[in-house]
Amino acid sequence: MNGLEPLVTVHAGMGAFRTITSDLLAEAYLAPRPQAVDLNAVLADEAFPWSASMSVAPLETAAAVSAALRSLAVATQGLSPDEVDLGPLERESRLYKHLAALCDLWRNAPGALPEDLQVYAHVLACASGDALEPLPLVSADACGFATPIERRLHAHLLDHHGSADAAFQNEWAALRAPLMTGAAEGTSLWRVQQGLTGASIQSAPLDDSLAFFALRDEAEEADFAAARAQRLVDQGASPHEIGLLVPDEVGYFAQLRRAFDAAGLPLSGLPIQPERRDIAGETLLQLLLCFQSPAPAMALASLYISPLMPWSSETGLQLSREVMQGRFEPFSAKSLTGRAQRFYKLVRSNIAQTPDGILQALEQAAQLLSEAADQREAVAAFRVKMGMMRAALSQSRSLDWSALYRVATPAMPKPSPSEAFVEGVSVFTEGSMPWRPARHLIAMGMSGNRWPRAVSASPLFLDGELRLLREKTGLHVETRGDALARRLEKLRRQFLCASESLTLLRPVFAPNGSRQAPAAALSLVARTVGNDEKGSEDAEALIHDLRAVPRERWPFAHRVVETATDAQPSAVPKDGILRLDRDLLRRRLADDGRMRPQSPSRLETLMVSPLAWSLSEFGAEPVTWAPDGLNVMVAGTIAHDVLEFLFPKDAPLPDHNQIDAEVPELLSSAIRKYAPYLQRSIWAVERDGLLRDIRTAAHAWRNTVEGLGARVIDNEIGLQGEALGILLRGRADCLLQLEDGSLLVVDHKKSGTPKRRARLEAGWDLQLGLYREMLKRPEKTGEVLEAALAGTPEIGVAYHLINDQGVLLEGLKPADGIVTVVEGEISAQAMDLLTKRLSDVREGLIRLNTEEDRQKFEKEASLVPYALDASPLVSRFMTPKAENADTTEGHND
Amino acid sequence: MTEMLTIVPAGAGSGKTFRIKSDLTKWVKDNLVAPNRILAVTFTEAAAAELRGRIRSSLLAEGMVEEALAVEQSYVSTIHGLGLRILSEHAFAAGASPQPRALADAERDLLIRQAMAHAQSLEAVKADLPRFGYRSSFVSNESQEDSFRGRILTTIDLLRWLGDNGEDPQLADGAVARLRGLYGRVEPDGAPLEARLLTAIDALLTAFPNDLTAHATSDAARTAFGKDYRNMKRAQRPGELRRDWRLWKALSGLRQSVQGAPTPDGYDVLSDEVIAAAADIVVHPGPLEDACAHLTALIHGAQEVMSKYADMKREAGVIDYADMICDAERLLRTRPEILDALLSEVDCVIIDEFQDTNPVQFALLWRIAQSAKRVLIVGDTKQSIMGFQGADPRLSEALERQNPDAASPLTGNWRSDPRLMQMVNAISAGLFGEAYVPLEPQRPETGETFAEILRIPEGRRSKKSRPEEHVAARIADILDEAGPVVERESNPKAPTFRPVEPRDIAILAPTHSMAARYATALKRQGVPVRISETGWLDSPAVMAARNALAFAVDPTDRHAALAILTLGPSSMPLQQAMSLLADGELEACAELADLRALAETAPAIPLETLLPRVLSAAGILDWAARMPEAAQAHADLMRLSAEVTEFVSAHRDFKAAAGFHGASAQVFLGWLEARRQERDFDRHPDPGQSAGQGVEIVTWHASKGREWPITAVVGLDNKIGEKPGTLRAEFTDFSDLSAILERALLIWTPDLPIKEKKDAFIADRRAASEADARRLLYVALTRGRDRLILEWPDFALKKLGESGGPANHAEMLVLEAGVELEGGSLKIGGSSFPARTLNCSAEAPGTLEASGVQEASERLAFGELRSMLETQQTAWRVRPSSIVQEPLPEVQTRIVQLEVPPQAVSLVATASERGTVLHRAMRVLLMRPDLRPRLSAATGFDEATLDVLQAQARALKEWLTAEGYTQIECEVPIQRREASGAEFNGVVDLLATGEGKCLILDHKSGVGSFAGYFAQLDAYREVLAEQAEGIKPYVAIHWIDRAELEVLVRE
Repeated sequence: MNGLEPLVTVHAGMGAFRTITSDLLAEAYLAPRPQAVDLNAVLADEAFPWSASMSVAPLETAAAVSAALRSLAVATQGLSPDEVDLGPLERESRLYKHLAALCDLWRNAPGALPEDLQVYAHVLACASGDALEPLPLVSADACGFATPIERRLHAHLLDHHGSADAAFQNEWAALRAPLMTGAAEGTSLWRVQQGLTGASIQSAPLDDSLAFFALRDEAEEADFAAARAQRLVDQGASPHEIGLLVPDEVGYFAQLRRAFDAAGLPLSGLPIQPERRDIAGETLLQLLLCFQSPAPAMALASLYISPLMPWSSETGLQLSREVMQGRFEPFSAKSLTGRAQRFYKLVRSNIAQTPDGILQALEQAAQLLSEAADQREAVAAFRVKMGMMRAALSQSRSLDWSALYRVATPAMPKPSPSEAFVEGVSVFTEGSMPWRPARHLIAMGMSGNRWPRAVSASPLFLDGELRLLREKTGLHVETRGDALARRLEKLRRQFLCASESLTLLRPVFAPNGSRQAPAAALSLVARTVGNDEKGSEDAEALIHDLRAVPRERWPFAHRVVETATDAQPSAVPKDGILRLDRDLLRRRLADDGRMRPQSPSRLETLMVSPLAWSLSEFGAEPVTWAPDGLNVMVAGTIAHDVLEFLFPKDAPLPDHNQIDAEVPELLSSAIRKYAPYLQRSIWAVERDGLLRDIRTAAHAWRNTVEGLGARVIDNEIGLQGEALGILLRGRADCLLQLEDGSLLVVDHKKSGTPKRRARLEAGWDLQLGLYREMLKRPEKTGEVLEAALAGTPEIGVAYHLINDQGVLLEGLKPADGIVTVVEGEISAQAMDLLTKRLSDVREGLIRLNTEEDRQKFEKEASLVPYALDASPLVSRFMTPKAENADTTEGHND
Repeated sequence: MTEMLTIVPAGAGSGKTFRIKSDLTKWVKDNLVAPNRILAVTFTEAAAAELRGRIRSSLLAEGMVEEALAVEQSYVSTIHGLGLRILSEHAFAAGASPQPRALADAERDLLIRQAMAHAQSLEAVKADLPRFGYRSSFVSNESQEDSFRGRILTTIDLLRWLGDNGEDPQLADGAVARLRGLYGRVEPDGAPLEARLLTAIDALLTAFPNDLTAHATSDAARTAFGKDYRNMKRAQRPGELRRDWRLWKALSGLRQSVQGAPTPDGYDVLSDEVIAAAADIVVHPGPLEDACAHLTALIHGAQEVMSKYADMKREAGVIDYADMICDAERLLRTRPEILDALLSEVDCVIIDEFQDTNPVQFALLWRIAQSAKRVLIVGDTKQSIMGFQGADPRLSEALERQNPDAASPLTGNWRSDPRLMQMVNAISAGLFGEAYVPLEPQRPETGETFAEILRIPEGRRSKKSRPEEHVAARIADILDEAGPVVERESNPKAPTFRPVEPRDIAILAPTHSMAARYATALKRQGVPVRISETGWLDSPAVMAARNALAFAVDPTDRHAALAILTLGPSSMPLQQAMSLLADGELEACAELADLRALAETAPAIPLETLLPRVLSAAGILDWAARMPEAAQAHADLMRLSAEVTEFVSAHRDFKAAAGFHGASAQVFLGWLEARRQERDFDRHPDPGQSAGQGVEIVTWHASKGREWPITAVVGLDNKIGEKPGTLRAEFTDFSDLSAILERALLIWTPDLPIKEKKDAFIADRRAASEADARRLLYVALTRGRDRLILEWPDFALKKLGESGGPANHAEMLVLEAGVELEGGSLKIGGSSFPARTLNCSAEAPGTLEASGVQEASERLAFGELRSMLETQQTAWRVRPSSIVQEPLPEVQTRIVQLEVPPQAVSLVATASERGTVLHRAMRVLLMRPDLRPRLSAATGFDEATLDVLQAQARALKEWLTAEGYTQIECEVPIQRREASGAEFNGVVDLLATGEGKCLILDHKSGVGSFAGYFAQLDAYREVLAEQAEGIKPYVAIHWIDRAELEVLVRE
């Protein structure tokens, strides 16, 4: 309906008033069921001027064409394309072409017309005797904003059924009156109601019936509206005498719910927020994503936590957490059984990347979903969606993933209308007319692109073209200007429901913090205010700055808020030590009742930040859902893997040609193993980079091993031993044996030499020191290591720095010029600190970091203290640095 | 053709918006322009909204209401909005989507990444990124691949600023020719140079096989020896000297003996030769060839990527921001009928901030302007500072030059104190020379100090004091003195004064990072500050909200539990929280009970519904309201909910492109975290007026278009000069502006590993950099209304004029504008201006005692907290079908079997639709059997089905007649209206009346029980009883599927 006044009939016997809807007409005139038409197929015809657009943007094009067809159709008198007279138009013009195309469409596919217009067409073709019941009209005149076809329909119905009895007409008018009368003549509100859209109303000074307020945003608006309503109620108004005119936006609904609940005022007619997402759609989409190899980790995680999974929500959360930590095959998956296990295996299996393969996998998955009673509905919805998927898949020969994803895209839940009740504050939404009168109306959201909403441009008709059409043929198709005028008139009528006061609220900021301009309607309202000397007022000038008004005169309820003086009360113990009164090292025990061994990297965390360490000991480290990406960790793992297989144990060193030949294949296999997503084309540059770095490093490493006269006796070797009074466990990347029998433990690092060297020289290296300690008192060594250690050989430790191919070695004296030998205690400082930390945590003490720690570790120890960023808690709970240590460090831009 | 072209050069504060508004209003009044036929282009959305508002209100002020309304239909928008509208309105002609979806940055990057993967032109560079200078960055966590991609992206941006001409492959030729020309002579063959260097290195390493760190006597020596050794080892590797030119540079600087730190005997001699050989890199052809290859790859590669990217966008029906301009420009250029169509919709074209257009924007606008009837172009080339967005002031300069008759400059200044204006005039005359048109001040003098100089002795890295400390101290003083400033809204001719407040002052700094330091210094002085600072994500309220959300959807998330307890409203001491964690009682603790209760349903709740509940369950809103910076906390939380909305409504492709899959809170939280690195993402939103207004700190760039009573311009020591690695487009010839895009030349300032070569390229850009600097200075210096404070960097003026041009902005003021500080005045050229001069000491200033204490005023909130008003809830509209009665009433009925063949009526349709058509059929068959031929079309039933129904209808009618009902009516609406406006609405399927009795009969399809429907029937009965007094209707159900009637006997 374009008209703002509905067509209303009354039942003579029962006195029941009814709006004449297309459903009622279809019923009364026995309209044929609407024709179903595949609009997309029809529109794709190449003869149409929009065919090229149709092929790239079917949805948008179809929407635009349908809208234009509707606007053309409602401009006719009898809903026939033959009424459109193309004769007077220039045949080469855009207007002619677009109109002709629309008429062709209409002629060839009448079903393209919206259903309600199909009903109208039927009714207009009927004789009065065809109606099943009389539908006398309560109003003899059509609404001024009605379209030609609505007017025609009005006349047609009047012809068939005549007007209702005068008594009914009067009764109807009386029923409507409170919504149409408005405020007392002469008041500011009356001026707005009469003069908003331009009737010649003289401006006059502002009185109490109209007020303007600027608030920060929609939340403040809602708070203000509630406060204003409270005051009105305190002054004797009933809640139902207050109305809110609200933009059709979810944000407003949520804020009003919150504010009015807090104010203790019932709201009537507020749309209800949706309670459930389209879980079925989401699950189907995630499944598809997981079936398209390689599966993104986040798609797996999202699937695992779907309520439709055949496992408990705890299991789902655990699985997803592990996946997001980088474990594509989570430990917790091992304990799955039955359906859960079958489902998991299905998701992680290699699924044939064919329509058939995917379809089969989907069918299997559908059978394995949750059997819980409360998910039954969602599972059923899943199966319905599966049906569409089945159709899409069984028709196609090749896999068109993007088409599948389109079908699977979850629906967006929308707010639903609520049942209004008599006693509450009324909520009127933007799109509809107020459903009852109000003494006091509060209109919200008077900013930005609202009141009236902008009308979007049409690809079929420019406004100028429509004016030309009107001029040449008399056909009155609605222009953007007409639509705007209609929206403004609607606003005027919405305002009309108020009889005593109107309060206009303008949010200065959108929720995201961007500034918004005042709405156009606000200037129009402001125009009606003014005094003789100065003419009308600027909207901004009328808006009350609440802070400038004395509190006694505030027209709304308010309260004093107690404020905290400090943003965050200091919760850090004075001495910076947390006391947990237990041996934190023995928190988790191994099967034999001893403490679980600690790895070097965990101990490094402990050394840097005991708090970060204890969070991970307690399983309280944060897991952020991050997209797949290539970071240093992943790159390191991949490089290690390539080097391990390129230099296998007990094999002759590969020559340079061999290296060039083998690295690419080894890299691909490592990528498949550790970071399958890197196989995608978007990571091509990164793959090239990895290949280059690893190949260069491999060549240099080969020369180093040769120069040392060493052979690889083992790779990825598990070391376990006792040191510092605790059990240690680690994995050395490579074990070399030199010609003199001495051993060299090597760790490949995907980083550069200078920093590492500085760290070693400063005595802050922990890892190599711990390896060495483990080898001194080894436990559970393998055969190879046992044999190698048999003659108590000299033991050296080394880092191989992949990024610049440097090798830093400690503990052996190899020939000149092969590697860089680092002398001195490479781990002394680190071991000291670690020993201290260990003794702390054994006593249950967690020493918090200080604000100087970061700098200290970076400068003194040349290490990047990653542990300080392990959790925001670590940096939030630092003890302040001592006042006198206030250094003015340099700034870098 | 253009009947009237007006070009309005509008200097700072000269009232350009007023000019636009008044010209337009006049045109509308004179009926020259219809208000819905205005095309106005501004630079930002805000400016467009403001302009629209101003036009509207000035028309309203003239009583032109209709006209004011019509403005809403006009094309008043940003240039992107204009482009988008042209593309939508002419989508079919372009074969494009009529509602193109704008690509988000992440999506654009993803598509470009995909296109890059296959770009042949990039192969050479991709194969060895480090060779071409790409490094990973520790600061931004950016990998070398990222920085390479970043470079391609900026190249693409640049090329797209040239419209379709950006695709011209010859652009690379011109750029390379310039590169070779500037580089200078090189040897034809690099091999002998390499051989010499390698020989020298071999000799040195043979003599000294290990590095010299053992000989080092200092840390510096140790580092240097280590590095030199590594470099020499590397140089020995085959091929390394043929790819790593930086290595040569490093080798030419080997460490040798210095006083007190000798090298071992013989080392210096051998290293002399290495150094000499390595120094030949200057004439080695390799670096030049690499640079040429790099430049060619960048341009051709970007072009190749662009064309693949364009295909992808076309297929997906999406466009990016550049397309809005480029595609529109192409449409108007190649399809004259579209240009005509556009022009036929407008009476006038107004372009604001014309100096900020980039080349393709210029081309688009100029094409429209050239043919429009009435054109008003407003701009100020002196304020063209958007070069980083491709703006080229020379375009509008050329336009002004070529249309001298059209010029209508604004010459007044309504902003600044006259003395301040004269001072700015004097400086500007120095900067811009004769071309500068002085602005005539229009305001009366304030009688107060209008210029201040803070002379700063110590630099930005000083250990004694920093410039920002002095500036902050001075501002604290000014606020403490509370001297008068002019009220902005007061009558300009007879101004009123009021004491200065923090919001009257702004600090203008060249960079964001410098701005942040001034903010810190001001806060230390206890001065309230307004700066859009980073830290939104980790602000207390947002941090608490994020963790509460995480816990609500995953109550096993111990970290979230710990964080919400310790950092959230309950502020639990960490000691206590960690003890709970250690005891395994953390997640179960009472403080989390409300959130845990939410966790039952939270995983499936839409985020927009969930967030408010989480905030309430965790008590975050109340807590935030009590914070000292409650307004900021409120704004921060509002932005979080806006981010939720954005996340929820973001297109799925967009999220997938960024690597995000799923709609859960976990995904949303990860999405926030990932965007932390995005430019400006982590900035706090504006808290608005209620926050108490502080001193504003903005960048020079961001100060454009704004003004304050007092401005402090800081950071004049900021360096002037092109940044290496920059690629720009320039034009060789401005004579034909309508074909300007064809005259583009790409200018590259390569980041060469050889300093002297790099400097030559920077020097070549000297003039352009200085021109940029002049304009930036002009903008910064013209923002003040009453007073201008200059932070004068004496520390940066020690090498005045030594660099062949001003090295920094302060030097520029001295060298070009002739600024001299003399006692209490500022001499500029020949004139002297009294300026309050403060010689700051080398030591840090103290803090003011009084100003630090900001009284915590009583804070008021809207509304009172009350418990819910207890009222009835009388339904506004009662629908009988929604009436349910629990438990079901006991009713006694009798069954009447209709005499028809028992044949189920089946129809494929949903239950409700089936019911509707059955009712319809029944109604026709009972009341108008003559219309039966129409039923098939109206219901979809076949004739056989209709036969069955007809038999039922006949039987039903017979029964009714037999029971004494003489009249029947179908689908009878009944309505009961209450005084309150509440209504009961229902439709009785069949109402039969007879002598003194009546019957309500409902058709039901499917199964059900009489008792289940009784409440509904009873409600009908009640309404009917009221209307027909004395008669109590009977009720019955017609079970269509069973062909039987069930009649109520007794309740």
